[in-house]
Amino acid sequence: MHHVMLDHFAAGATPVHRLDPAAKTVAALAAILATVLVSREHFLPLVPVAAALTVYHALGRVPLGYTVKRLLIVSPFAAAVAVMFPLLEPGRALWSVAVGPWTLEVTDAGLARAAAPVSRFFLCAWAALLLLATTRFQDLAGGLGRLRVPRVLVTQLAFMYRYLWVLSDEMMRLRMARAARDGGFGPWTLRMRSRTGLVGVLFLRTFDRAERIYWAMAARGFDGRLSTVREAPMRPADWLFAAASVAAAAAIVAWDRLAHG
Amino acid sequence: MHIASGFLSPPVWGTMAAAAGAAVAASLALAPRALDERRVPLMGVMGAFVFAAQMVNFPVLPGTSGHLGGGFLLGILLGAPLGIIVMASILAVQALVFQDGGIEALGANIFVMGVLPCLLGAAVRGLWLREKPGPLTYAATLTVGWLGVVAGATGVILLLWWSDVLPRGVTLGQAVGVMAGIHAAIGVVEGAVSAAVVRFVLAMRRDAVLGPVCAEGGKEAVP
Repeated sequence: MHHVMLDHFAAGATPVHRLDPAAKTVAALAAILATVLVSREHFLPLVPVAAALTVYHALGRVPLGYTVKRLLIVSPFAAAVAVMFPLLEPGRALWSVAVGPWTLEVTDAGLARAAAPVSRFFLCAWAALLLLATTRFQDLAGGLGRLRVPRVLVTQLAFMYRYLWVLSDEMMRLRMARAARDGGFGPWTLRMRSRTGLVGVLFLRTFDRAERIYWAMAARGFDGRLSTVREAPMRPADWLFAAASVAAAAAIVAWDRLAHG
Repeated sequence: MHIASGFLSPPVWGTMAAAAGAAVAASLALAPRALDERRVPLMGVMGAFVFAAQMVNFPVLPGTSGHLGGGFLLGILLGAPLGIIVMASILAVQALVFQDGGIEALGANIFVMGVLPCLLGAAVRGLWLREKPGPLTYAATLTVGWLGVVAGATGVILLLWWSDVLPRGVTLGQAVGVMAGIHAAIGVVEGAVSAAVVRFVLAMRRDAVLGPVCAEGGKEAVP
């Protein structure tokens, strides 16, 4: 596994990619907050959010297929709720199907109530997806630092992202070694014990790895602070982008409150 | 089990964000005592460890399996402040990078899957620190770990109910019953596996894990 699996498109060179990571983070947060602050009965105020994301998506040249695929697989939680609602909400039955002794009914009221959270979910996930698809994670961490996120947390995020793939690979190797020995069969207690051992061994290896990393960093002059290479100042375009996003989000929320009470 | 975007209502996610923010801020304030610069890589890599540990599926009942949440285990092995910081960053990465859990629901997710299990883990940490952990230690770890998972699942339902996004055909009691019922089985795995992993880790490297990461003057680098 490798990080290119996730921020595969983050190395692009479009104007959107060149925007400052902190500005893009603010814009994504503004889009997400506007989406979740619009009252549940209303959908019209979401249209400008969707339009803005569409423009960003096109400017960033993020492949559509990639986004659609990611959005559809991302949340079992949203999927579960989306399926549950139409079935469990009392109302006029639009469609019913018999499953053994039960009858499942899809109701109009259920579909209406599911629409609000599911539409919000898609917009928010889309905004987060676009942020990551057009910003390299290390730059994003740097941007969060400039947004006054505590340094310990930023360092933590940067480290985690760096070693996620290393440890996932390590775990895959451990799992493959185990599978080669027991093939996933054997009594339940043995399978539990072998899996527990996997987690324990991985913990100890992680612990040792952390110590090696520390010594390697100390050898390079680490003093408790991570320094990032790229620290370009905010350009006027970045300020404009961030300010416009926040203003648009505020306008959308105000519109929702005023027009719909 | 991450709460996705769009489900919690603003008062609910606002409250949970404030609560989780306070817990993380308190952890950051308490951490420096445990967090010298040597711990910086350790904590970062521990986040990656939890990710990888979540890849291991444990057979629960025939046909179903569950994976570790990790918060409870970190609470025992690292203590509450460091565990909470690590879990908060894991959940942030899951929300940002994998869109697993909503950004505005991050506070709620940190509270349910980070703060709560880490505090419970830290509660039984004292038992493990004693020289000889006995049957009482295992029983307590299993019970408290189980409790954390069931309480977390119940908490998610309560938050959804408070946000008024439960289908009206279901009562709160039914929803809690189903969710807690499913997680009662998963909770056994969380408790039992955490206890077994802690036992394994301590049996192998007790001093290294529970002592300061590197004692004063520097310990041997690991081969």
